Amino acid sequence: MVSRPLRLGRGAGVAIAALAVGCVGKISDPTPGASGSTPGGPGSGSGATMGSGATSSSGGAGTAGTSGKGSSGSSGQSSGGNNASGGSGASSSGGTAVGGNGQAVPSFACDDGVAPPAESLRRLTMTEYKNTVADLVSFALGGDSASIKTVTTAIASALASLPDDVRQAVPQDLHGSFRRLDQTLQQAHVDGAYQVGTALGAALTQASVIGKVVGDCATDSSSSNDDACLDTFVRGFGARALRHPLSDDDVSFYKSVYGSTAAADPAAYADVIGVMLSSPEALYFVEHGDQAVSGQKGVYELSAYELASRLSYQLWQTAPDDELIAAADDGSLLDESVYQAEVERLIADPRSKATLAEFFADWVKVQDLPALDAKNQDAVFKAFAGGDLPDASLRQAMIDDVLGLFDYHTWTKPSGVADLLTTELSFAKNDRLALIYGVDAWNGKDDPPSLPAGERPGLLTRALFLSTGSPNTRPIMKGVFIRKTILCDEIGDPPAGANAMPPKLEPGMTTRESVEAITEMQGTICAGCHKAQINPLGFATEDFDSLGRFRTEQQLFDDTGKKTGTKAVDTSSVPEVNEGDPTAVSGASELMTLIQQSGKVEACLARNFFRFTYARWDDPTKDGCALEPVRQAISGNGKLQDLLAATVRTNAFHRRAFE
Amino acid sequence: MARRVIDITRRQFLLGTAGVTVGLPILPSLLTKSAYGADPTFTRPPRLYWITSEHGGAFESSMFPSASLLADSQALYSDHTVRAGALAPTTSGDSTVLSDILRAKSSVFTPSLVSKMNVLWGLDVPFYIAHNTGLHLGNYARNDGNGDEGKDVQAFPRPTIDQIMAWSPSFYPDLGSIRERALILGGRPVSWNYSNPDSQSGSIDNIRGTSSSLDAFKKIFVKQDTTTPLRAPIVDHVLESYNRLKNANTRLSAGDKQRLDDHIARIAELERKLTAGGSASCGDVTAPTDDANKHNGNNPTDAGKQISLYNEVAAVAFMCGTSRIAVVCNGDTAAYDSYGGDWHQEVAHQWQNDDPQQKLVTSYQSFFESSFLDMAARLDVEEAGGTTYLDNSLVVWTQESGMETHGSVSIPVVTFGGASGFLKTGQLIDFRRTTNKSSEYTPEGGSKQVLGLLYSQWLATVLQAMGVPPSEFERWDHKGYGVPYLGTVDWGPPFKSHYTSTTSRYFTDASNILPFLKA
Repeated sequence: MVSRPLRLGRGAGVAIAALAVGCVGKISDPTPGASGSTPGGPGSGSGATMGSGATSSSGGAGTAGTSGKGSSGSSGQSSGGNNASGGSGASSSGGTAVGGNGQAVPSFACDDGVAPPAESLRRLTMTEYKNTVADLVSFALGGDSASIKTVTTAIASALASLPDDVRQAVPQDLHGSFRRLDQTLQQAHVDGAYQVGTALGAALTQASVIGKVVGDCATDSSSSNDDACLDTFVRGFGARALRHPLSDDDVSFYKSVYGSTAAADPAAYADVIGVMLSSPEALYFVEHGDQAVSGQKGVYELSAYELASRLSYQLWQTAPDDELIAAADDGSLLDESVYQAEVERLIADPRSKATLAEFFADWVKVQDLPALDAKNQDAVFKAFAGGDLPDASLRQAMIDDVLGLFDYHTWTKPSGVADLLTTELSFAKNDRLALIYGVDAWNGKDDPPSLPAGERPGLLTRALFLSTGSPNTRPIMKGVFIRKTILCDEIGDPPAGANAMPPKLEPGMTTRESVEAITEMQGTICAGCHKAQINPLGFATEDFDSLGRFRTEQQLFDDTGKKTGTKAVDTSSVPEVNEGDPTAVSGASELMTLIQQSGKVEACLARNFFRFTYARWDDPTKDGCALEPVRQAISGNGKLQDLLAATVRTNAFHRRAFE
Repeated sequence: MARRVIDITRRQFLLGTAGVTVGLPILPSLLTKSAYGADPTFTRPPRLYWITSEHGGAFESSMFPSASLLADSQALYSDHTVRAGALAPTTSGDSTVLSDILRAKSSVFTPSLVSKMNVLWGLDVPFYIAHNTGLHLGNYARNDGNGDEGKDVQAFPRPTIDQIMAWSPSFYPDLGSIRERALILGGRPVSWNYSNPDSQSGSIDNIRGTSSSLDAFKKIFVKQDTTTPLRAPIVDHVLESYNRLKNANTRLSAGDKQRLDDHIARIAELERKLTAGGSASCGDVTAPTDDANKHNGNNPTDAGKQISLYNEVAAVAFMCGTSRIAVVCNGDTAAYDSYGGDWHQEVAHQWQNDDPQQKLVTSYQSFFESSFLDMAARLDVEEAGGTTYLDNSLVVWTQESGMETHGSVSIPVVTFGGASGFLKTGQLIDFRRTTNKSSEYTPEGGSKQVLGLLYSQWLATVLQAMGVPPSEFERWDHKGYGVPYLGTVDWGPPFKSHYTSTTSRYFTDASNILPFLKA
């Protein structure tokens, strides 16, 4: 049987019902054979039609199309997280409130009787796995720094063989979403974990450290204590490596790995360690659940150990520490007050900063910034850049600038979405970037310098989001980014036959004028989406060039790099942050205010943090109870860092669906 | 036929057209392996090398050799005649020329290499697929959903044919020397397979490639440990730990169980590799000192060198028998033209205009000469029985689109090598139905296009050339490889009028070897 992703008809995949964005194209004909295009597909001859079902009107959730019986094997969703629902932008039926601009503010409907989708065994990210190994080494060696360094060096090559997590392309975001959604199982994961296990086993059983790792019983001359020595090690090290107490069966299994060697044998201990490090409990979140959740078939509350692991990996990206394990050992973690205290303790730890930093970096796709110095030899680019010709460091400086902005407004001066969108502080520590911003470089300690008033408000005016590595800005791509990534709106499919005719600098035309000429031509199908949904959001920041420099005029060049003139840029637009809203903006400042007032960013953040947390795409029809508390927590006076606490306090975080 | 001992060329094959050499001594032990010591010609198992490039967009008049070469014809159907002719290059200065793109220095692009080449014209993916990285090797679902048709097909992912081969008992009847079933080189997605390739179940996931030629080298050349281990490898115990969980009386979701099965299959592959390779090792080899991922400069030299370093590893893997499949996913070809702007928007999507078209042609010609031909030249040294490694390989270059970017009419396919005698070479083959107006299409630029045969038939031809029978790759009661889907858009190529339906002759014959290709 072929599993099929939920598919919505054009224009149907709008994230939030209350704010459905139009750009409705034709709905595909669902009639099998109507077009003569039915491929048979899986279940050939059955009349099944590819992509047949799944039409819905705007705002409604589509239903999966039908498919015939597969003749062999089964193909699942392509390249998604292993739990990906595949449903892009299924609408919630959430209520609405009135925002600061008088527009409806989106919300998610929470129906506690609706079970979330069944989950699959989630693989630790490679960051999580490496952190776990590092903590395990420290635990095994009792924190002895010299020994830790020796062992860490010994396993470095094996750890390096593990593949990096990549921002996984999912059907809803083919350009890559979150690294945590990278749930593919590559052969390199299995090979690498095996290498790490064997290398760590060998390193921890060297003569110089085995006494620390196993105990004196492993090195003394007595053989009478060897069995107890092994038993104690398997239970102690195993509980840490596998993140739960071992059953007697587990102990027997690992003792069988050790074998029948009579005397304490370092190589046998190494094997035990190696197998533990490659075991499913080490590489995956193995969860069986505990008590059934009333009213939700197939959903169970997590056990204390399972909850401890979820909490620790969510906030620290590593295994539970002693205190958290103790709370799981005595079951107190399931007590709300103890749990809340643990949440606060973990969030206060610097490791939670790294977690949020990864989230923010992936959310706004910082790594999509192209190399900025790759075209330094090009005549037009050289002429365009002038004295600001990028060096190799500028790209990373732009990334650091944005991550610094997030960090400052999350931790140093805890702020909400409003500040994120309107801040006029500079976080550029790099002189070249600071020069582009017209401020001094920030030393990272004192208060950040203020940008020229009114010139560069908020996150989306930072050079990271403006730079292209070429002489041209990309208003279309800026608009798409804001619409999809910041507002979580869906944009209708490009019309069939739209050959993505590009903006091109023509003598006498600004980039905006070129884009308008190509994509907004009256009566063309392109104009439907570009004029209302895409271009205006990008035009509002056209007072920055493609190096992020503020400008009031666009310089024009010929192909040899000779300047042919200048022309005033136009940043006015009607961005329709909310569909149909006729409010005009004069530029970035007013656009940021409009976006901030819409309440859409908070809802979008909640959805994205859900994806990051659960390593799957959200389905607002089923995940509303996980989404709405988070949205509420970061709305109004809520802070960005409240994403963390609000998420782990939801019921959804404490439960797992098996059916 | 007695096998020749190769002396002169031991290092020669390591020298590609880009002049890159690798410090890998080819040991006599490698070249005198007894397995094929007295082979007649063409009993070596074929290897597959495939390189992809983004966009397409070159005018057919620049891409393909002159149609005047098409002296032979065959009535494939009563109303569809296909044509072929021997490739006949001309000389221009110091270059051998088949077309504006297929031209290179005569010192490398020799008559011998031309005779081992095929250029295929008229292979279509019959729907609006737009941007994709999945077309090349048959996972049409991996397109960007730029339109209803591409979006429809997204629901039907398939493994790519390199992975079909990699896990085929017909392609790899003996895995004893194989370190990596398939080398996936380059950082972009081009290869997909089931999450459980052994049972062909689970989701279709991208098989991650490596952008580091050095890492690839390390995977296929593992120094043999000749010491006798004191204890048995732990891999069996690792496997047991997964089976314990899977078989325990504990609560698991269906997805959990699938995941455990996926992992168990990977452990089996790990175990295979741990015990493989004794006969495959090239001995103590010196690792390359350069790495492909260091050559990202926006210039033809770096672009060529990057691919050449991948080629180097792939060629040696073929020769050492540590892998028989290599796929290189090249991105766009901007660096081959040192283009300083936005190649995607300013060049590729302006293919119909003169200046961008020239840039595309320049970049593809450079790509052909420094990267694609480089691989063919590396392999064209004697292997055994008077045949070269190239003769026993199939080396393929495909582009993302045809003459129109986003379009999939006449995807250019250029090959070298006869796949161990399976394929006839030295031909320009034209599959287009040139005599019927209902197959014609006039795009925004360039010349008229004409529909021909399914690209799926090409993929099925490759699979069979590699020894994989249709029973191993046909799905959904459909012939060929890919997804049987027919587009109906009324703005573009007349897919519907030409291909009629998914039960038409073109679809039902799609597992047949393409005309003129069978040796």
